[in-house]
Amino acid sequence: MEQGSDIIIFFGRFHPLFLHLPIGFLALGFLMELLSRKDQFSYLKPAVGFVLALGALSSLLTAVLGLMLAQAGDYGEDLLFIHKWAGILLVVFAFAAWGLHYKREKKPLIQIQRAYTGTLSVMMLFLAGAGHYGGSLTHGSTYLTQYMPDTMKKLAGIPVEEKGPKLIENLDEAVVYVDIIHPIMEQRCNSCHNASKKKGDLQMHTPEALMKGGENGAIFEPGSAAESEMIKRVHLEENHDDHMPPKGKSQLTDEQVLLLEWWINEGASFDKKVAELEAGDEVKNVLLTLSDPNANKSAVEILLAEGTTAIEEEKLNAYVNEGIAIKRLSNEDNWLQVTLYRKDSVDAILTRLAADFPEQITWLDVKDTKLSDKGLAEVGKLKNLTRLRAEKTAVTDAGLANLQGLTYLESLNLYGTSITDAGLAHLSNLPNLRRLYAWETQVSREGAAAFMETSGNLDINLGYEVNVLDSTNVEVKPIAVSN
Amino acid sequence: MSKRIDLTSEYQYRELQSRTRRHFIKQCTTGLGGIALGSLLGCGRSNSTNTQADIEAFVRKQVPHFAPSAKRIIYLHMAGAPSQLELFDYKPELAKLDGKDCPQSLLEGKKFAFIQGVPKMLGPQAEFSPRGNSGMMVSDNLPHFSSIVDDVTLIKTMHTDQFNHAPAQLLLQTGSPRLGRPSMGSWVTYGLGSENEDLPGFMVLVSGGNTPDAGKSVWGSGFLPSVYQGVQCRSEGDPVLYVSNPSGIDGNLRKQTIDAINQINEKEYKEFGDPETLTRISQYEMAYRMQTSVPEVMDIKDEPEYIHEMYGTEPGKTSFANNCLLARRLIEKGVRFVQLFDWGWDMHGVAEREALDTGLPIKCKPIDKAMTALVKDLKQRGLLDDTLVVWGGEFGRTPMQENRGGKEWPFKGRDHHTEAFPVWMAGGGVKGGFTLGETDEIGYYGIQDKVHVHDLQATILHLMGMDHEKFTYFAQGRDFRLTDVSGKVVSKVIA
Repeated sequence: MEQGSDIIIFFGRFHPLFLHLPIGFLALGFLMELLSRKDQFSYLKPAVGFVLALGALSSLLTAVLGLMLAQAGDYGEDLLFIHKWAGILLVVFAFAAWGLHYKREKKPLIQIQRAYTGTLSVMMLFLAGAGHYGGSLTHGSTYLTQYMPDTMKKLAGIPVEEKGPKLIENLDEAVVYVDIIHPIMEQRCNSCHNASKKKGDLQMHTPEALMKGGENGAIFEPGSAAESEMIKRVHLEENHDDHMPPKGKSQLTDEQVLLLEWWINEGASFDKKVAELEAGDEVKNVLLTLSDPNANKSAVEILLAEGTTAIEEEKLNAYVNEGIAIKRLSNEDNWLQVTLYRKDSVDAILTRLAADFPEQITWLDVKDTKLSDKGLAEVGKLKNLTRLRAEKTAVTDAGLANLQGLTYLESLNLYGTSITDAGLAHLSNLPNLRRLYAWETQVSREGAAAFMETSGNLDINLGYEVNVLDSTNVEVKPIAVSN
Repeated sequence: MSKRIDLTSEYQYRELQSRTRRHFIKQCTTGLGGIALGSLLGCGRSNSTNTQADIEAFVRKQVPHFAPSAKRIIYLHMAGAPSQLELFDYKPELAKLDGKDCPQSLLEGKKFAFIQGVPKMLGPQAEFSPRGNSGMMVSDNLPHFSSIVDDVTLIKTMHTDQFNHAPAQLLLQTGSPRLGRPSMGSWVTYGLGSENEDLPGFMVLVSGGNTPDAGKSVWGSGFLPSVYQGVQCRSEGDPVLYVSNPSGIDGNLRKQTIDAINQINEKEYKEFGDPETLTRISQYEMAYRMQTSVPEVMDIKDEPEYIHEMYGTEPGKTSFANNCLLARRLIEKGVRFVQLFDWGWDMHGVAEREALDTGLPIKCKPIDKAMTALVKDLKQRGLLDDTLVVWGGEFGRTPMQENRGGKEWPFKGRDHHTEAFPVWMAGGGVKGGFTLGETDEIGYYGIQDKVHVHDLQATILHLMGMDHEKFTYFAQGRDFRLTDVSGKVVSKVIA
């Protein structure tokens, strides 16, 4: 379609404003005509002609504006064709209905009455049709049904899509464009750049359309994401007029941007597989999440994200009323964090907590309290504990034996206790232990080093060594070097 | 004509006669105050019979939107704005331009605080080298800091809207360049409460010989209840002004006095229902408990010698080093937000003390040592995992030499600059050994991953488990946020 002049498009853009008038007037006219046939609404009769006249005239104006807007060429031909002709026929039938109404008023013949009623009904069909296809042009053809409940979709014969992004089974064999890039564009770009709607004269739903580009030419430079128009626009400030997706629409995630950039940098091939392209660590990590959303998460992160069983609120409130600092980790799950203080009778409280919330307590802070090995035995029953702060307490090597079942324990703070190298042995079976604080204990450099060797990802902190060099300079070096 | 009335009716009649507009307004405030208390307590039920317990229960119930990675914050604000070009932003290209006229393109449409006409470019006044395993470029002004770069996320591309100290400090700390908004610490303690009943949730320590240019409003509570305002502690004399007993008054008498005042206040509250009365009651209680808790936590004399050597602290003095050590002690006690301000970074080059080649290294020395010691000390205590340390100024400095009054100055200084400045963060769930963002060849503009002040605030709240868009307070007819109407969480810095 040839480009219309600016002034035509300027007026054309009033189409979406004026189109509401004929919808309202004609629907109102139709309704008034039906109602006025009943005695109690007969007073509406004299106004029907006026309303139909308004409807017919405003539909003509709207249609003219619509034809002007079509000059912009932002829209797909097929849907536009249907919408255009439905609109034109609507105008014809609206005038016909008005005319017949006028005639009927002059000469109330039964033929005219019938022709009038028929015309009015057909007019309403075209009104619905023009309205619906117009909506599809603006919002995309799936707009209306996207959030339809699945059961209704089945009844209406609309294919039910699976929730969430589809996972890729064999990552190496996946075709980058088909399995990764196209789904991103479907999700974020194609509602405005598709077969039926082409904003900025750009379609993005097929490789051919992508390569063709939009009204400003190519949208990507194979091999250089930084030089690619679509990537440049993604990185503009959200308030910038050229930012894509436009402000208010759902935005690309950082991971999606990274994948788009990677695909373009690697030549923007439409048929290469993942294994055939070079990928840095960052990209690899994101790619892994496409086949397994938990790929880069630790066992502890997965546990916390899964959540835990519900809490009995009365029990929780009882502790709160007693003045014990227990509360949820967040408002969106049931994980609990507990902090006890020197004033609390820690061992006794822990016995009750272990009985009431064995699965929910995940952070426990009993630092600098009267905690004993007996209390630590209760701590050992909190099976989903991930962080334990027991520094500056009277716990001993023997007490640590109670922690052996804490599969998810990730961080353990024992600084300022009397534990020794022998105590570490009890911790050797904790698969998720990542951080152990053992500064100011009897744990030796050698003992810590040997223990770290056996457990791959563990970092033992033995504090820092402070050497005074002169009156103003000191050297502060870590005692144990993490692996 | 005169109608006989019985005693009860006469009483009612007289009662009604004695009612004045003043009574009506009084009772209205009870109603309005009750509603306000309802929102303060976060629930529809307000129980004025047990006000203190209500406050404490509320404080304990404060739960974040989602699981936090940081539970506490230490914010080290370098008031005056340190020069990024002598500390964190390595610009060898700028050295080549040293002494040349600044190109017009950098001056057009710009406002500067002091630069006039065409200034000269000023090369970096410090040597840089790559540090740690990550190879982060840090200048020789920060030798200690260079040993913790692998625990630190450095954002090089912060930018702000304000080029004068006070508004820029307000924008950074309260989200608005004008007075009247609650500070970050107030928001955080309002949202999450304190973990220690004997100390305020938000404490402020000031060093460098001056309070920040924006005054005490940078730790004010704005329209939030004033219980959330920062409490300033001094490292000299009484740590909190008037917290100790006046001479001749012992603890018992003090307690009785406070109890009596609180009884009156509770009556006052029952009558008027003003939530500020509740604040007042809880502050009296808190002040009494602080009489023992504050001197205990503020007395650094009981720290071992090697800790003093590590930080460079001297008990009884006011210094940034002392404040760093105090910050650690407060955090250990469960204080939610410790705000440090250190004054004296505004190096315009109009005096020797303000010269980047001579004054800055002297200024840096104790700061570098103390801030590094703080991070290391938190780390060895296992506190760095869930304590977020943030360091930065309110803006950056120009790659041009300042020419105040249109003339050349004998000392090398730089003017205020809003487009690019650094902030580093450590612990609390941020990446270690990570640099975000890149500036152009002279450090004038951020060219990649720019982070606005509101983005930083959104990120800090996010790390504390708060969604900055949902974390609002209704005041003056609308909901307010720390991040105003913008801000985006910088997910790249989150580990």
